[in-house]
Amino acid sequence: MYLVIVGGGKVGAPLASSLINEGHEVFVLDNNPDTVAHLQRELGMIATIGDATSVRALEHAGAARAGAIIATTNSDEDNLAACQLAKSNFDVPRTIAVAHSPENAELFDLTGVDLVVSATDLVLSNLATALPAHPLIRLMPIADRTQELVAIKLPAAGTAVGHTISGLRLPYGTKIVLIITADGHSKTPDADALIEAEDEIIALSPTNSTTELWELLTELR
Amino acid sequence: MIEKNPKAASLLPRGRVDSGVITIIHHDGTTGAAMIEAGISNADVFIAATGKDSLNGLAAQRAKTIFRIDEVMTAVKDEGARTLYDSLGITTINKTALASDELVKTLTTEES
Repeated sequence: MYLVIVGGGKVGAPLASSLINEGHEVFVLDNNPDTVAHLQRELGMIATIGDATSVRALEHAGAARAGAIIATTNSDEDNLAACQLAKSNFDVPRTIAVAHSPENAELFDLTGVDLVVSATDLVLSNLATALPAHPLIRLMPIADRTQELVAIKLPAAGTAVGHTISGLRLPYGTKIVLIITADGHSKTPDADALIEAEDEIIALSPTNSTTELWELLTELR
Repeated sequence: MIEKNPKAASLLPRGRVDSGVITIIHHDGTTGAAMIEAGISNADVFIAATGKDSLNGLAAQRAKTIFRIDEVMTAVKDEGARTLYDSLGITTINKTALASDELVKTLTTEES
């Protein structure tokens, strides 16, 4: 597939390199001549200097035949404009943008960007993973953020310990998809599976019930 | 008036600022927080007039989509951006096009 990447910096450059390795044809637009020169040295003539918020630069990058545009600059407003211009002027079928601020991630969703990568959400979930004591980790938003995949670590003295899955009063719509035991083994969450101390529960949760689920699973005796 | 740069804000007419006709908010105007501080819920019109098309586009779309302001206007330079924002129901003003129209008008008047 032919892919246009906007921004050849910390995100764009490794992305370009990995997409090329996967066999895609890639073109990078960046307004910084040094960045472009660096990319050309590393990856060949796949980058050019240009402002992706101008229709002319997108045209020059071959947006008309691109299967997707991926906007990865540090500037949220430029990422949004590049995606919207690519869609409205060149009918690019898939637009993907990084949003650094969470409120921009929400706006991108509402203004027609096909896939929004929220940098803040990613950093937060990675930080949470790095803190072993943290009881709630949001792994991934699903279905336009109405649901999410979460991991919740059960305290040893939790009231849920000793119950079976069917014995838990889970919030409506919540599905437990996997249990990982304290020693790192996985358990299938059948109705009669027993919840043990320090299990990690992986669940699909309606986003507005996650707090309730977390309270249920981490309540202490 | 939302203006991040205190120097730019100092160019506003002092009297109007002192008498409270113009209120200045020193903030990034693309953020919801700045718009709320500026009282956007009571606004009849929102105008994005920075020198950067994409910044204006983002602020204008937040005003329109999140705060549901009917009359949103933005300054644009790129003609492609102009078509895009027009299609989103945002009124666009192209300073360069206005200036060149004006020049052409002046020239034609002089010729006749």
